Amino acid sequence: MKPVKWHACWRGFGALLLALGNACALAAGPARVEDSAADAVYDCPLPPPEQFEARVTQLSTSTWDKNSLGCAADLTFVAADNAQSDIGLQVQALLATTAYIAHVNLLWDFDLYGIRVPEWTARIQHAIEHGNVLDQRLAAVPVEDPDLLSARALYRLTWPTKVADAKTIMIETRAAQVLLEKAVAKEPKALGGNALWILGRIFFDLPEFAGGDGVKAMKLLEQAHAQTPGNLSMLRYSAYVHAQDRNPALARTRLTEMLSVDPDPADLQTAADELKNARDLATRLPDAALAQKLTDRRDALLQAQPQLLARKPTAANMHGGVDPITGKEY
Amino acid sequence: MRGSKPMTASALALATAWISLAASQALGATLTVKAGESIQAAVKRALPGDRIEVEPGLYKETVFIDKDGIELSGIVRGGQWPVLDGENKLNDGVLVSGHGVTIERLWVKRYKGNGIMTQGSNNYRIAYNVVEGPCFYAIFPQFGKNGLVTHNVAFGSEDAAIYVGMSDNVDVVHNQTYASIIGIESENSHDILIENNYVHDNVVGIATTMLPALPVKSSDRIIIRNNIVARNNMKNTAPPGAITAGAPPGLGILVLGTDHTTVEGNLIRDNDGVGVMVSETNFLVTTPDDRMDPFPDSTQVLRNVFLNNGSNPQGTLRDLLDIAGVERGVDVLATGKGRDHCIADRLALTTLGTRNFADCAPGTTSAAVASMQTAKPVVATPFTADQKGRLTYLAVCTGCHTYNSKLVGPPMVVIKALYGKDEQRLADYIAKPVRKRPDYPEMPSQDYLPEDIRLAVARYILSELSH
Repeated sequence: MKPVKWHACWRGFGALLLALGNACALAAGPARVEDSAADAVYDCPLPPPEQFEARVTQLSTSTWDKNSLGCAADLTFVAADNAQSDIGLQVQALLATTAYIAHVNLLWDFDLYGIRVPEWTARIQHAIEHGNVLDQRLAAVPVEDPDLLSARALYRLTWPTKVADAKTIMIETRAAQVLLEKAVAKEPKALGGNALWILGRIFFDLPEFAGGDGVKAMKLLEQAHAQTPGNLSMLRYSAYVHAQDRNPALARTRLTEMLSVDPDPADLQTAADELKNARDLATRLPDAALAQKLTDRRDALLQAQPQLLARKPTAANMHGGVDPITGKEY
Repeated sequence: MRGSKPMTASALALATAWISLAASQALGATLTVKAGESIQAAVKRALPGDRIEVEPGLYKETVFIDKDGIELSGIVRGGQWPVLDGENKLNDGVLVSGHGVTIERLWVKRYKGNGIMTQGSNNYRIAYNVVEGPCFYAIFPQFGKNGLVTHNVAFGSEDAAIYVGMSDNVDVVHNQTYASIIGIESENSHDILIENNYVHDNVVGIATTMLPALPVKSSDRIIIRNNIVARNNMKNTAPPGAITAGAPPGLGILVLGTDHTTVEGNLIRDNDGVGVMVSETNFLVTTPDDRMDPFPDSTQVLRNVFLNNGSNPQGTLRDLLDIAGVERGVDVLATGKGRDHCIADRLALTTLGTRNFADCAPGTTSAAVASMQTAKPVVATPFTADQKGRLTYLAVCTGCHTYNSKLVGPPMVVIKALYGKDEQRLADYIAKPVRKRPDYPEMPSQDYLPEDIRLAVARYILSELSH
């Protein structure tokens, strides 16, 4: 691993924070939004070269912690910046950046009234600065490698979600679709088996006038299931689509399959989140017994790994929190 | 919901109101509040079933009603109203948790949170009020059954002017709303009639929404009928990141994830973006919540008058139309994958994304439904102390506090650390707060809350509230 230019990266981030913090505070007015942009700054010391990979691995698998994921993204970016001909490193850095943005997007989702938007925005904008550089580098690579294509697709699906307008989101989604179609044509199991089901999700999510196609989505999801049946996110999303398709039996089958999948130790937070989503979907079907099994499994995971986020929306502005009538979570 | 023989909704509403009025007058005494006196003091003296008449004058207070059958009635004399003024300092104008309560003929203005809010109240009536912002919600019945919101004028809300939240069997009729992010909204509610309202110059005119991360997980049977929905083209000034920040300007009626929503007989005109939009919840709100079905089913867009909508789409609507390659806005836009929708008069309309809408059967109408209120008052169970604590926390405290972030006031986690298990000390502070920190504004006194409610809130915060 070559030495990295850490200081240049850090200065750029600081300037960005200042600008965004002021802009958000002005736009939001004096109340209802916490002036939290300063919380987007995290400590991310550069490890010695011999410890670099271990440190990045430790950070990137701390999928419950925004600062660890942010630091993993920063460190891999710096490494990639110092080895620009190393395509694998560029892909790794782009995936780390994307994982960080996705994590912050989800934190923002549970911040129903956007109380900490200055922090979320600053974090995402910082990551996008790196992500765009990496994406452009990879776009210039003449080889159409499935992992490269998939990484670029995932980034383009993820970065605009919270910070771009609807048109940009749609344009980026369509671009991601093209990249993923190329990737799975070359390697159906690209992106660790995720490319296929994410492509299905694109077709399901897009409106019909923007290229959405429910039938195609279903076909892709079934292909993804046949290829990588032990993918928690794929199983949960497939169940969701089958429920929407008024096929509760198949939805129940997919959710039941989740019970026999061991969580990926490299991404325990996603496992906890998908088990929560699955429990909620089972409740809706309704299948109380299945919901209880999924709850038990998630509870066991949270008990064993208390650092994982429970994803409870905080009450604000007369909404959220527990059910005031029953006192229970929902 | 009840069907009926030919009888207009307003006639039925008036009849219901008259019966309610007659019953309460037969049971209760009348107390009078004169200018310079306290309305809350009268509420404290009142017994369930009493009527409180408020003379014209200026009242700078929050009124909290947790007794049943109270009728709080303003007297408007020679154009002079009883005015409740929060002066942009107080959070709530009128808060109601009693059942069978009437709030009428009050001019409520400049409360930071809610103008008039009922929470957990059943069989309520909110009528003939003027509620003026700036405020978060002008009129906000939440967690209640069987209500009537009629003949109110509400404007200047940072969110919805009239906001029916997690409620059942409510009529919202004959109101005027404007200059708000959303004119009228029904959120996660069932059996709601929105009829004969004039909804204009908001960001979005009328919205029926199925929102995530709330205790009620469905939203069904909503009729939007015979309203004038015009010029809802206001710029969206909601704080960035807030749910309403995604409300697209220029939208007349939004059906977001709700089922069995009927849009009939409305005059929908001069909305610059789109007349009616039918969409799945996660098109605008992405918080994961798989307990709810985000897709709208069985929407009926029946005969309405669409006039000059879509002349200047902006923002999200412009983006969507661009993606579809459409220059001008449309009368009906659908983005979702819901099922069993139908549309009438299709050839007369401009539409986008409605391929899965069938033609409504000839003669389809909601006319048989004159009111969504129940034929008899619903049974109203008294709340426990714990429920009162949680409801009041949600209604009063969360306007300024969250668990672990700084909002207007300090995070609750800090308050819990400060007070430990000393519920009485916190309850006392709630009644008579003093400024403790230079980096926060002084908390307004919540001494309108009775002692038992303050203690219940303190108990909830210190013993139950967690994250």
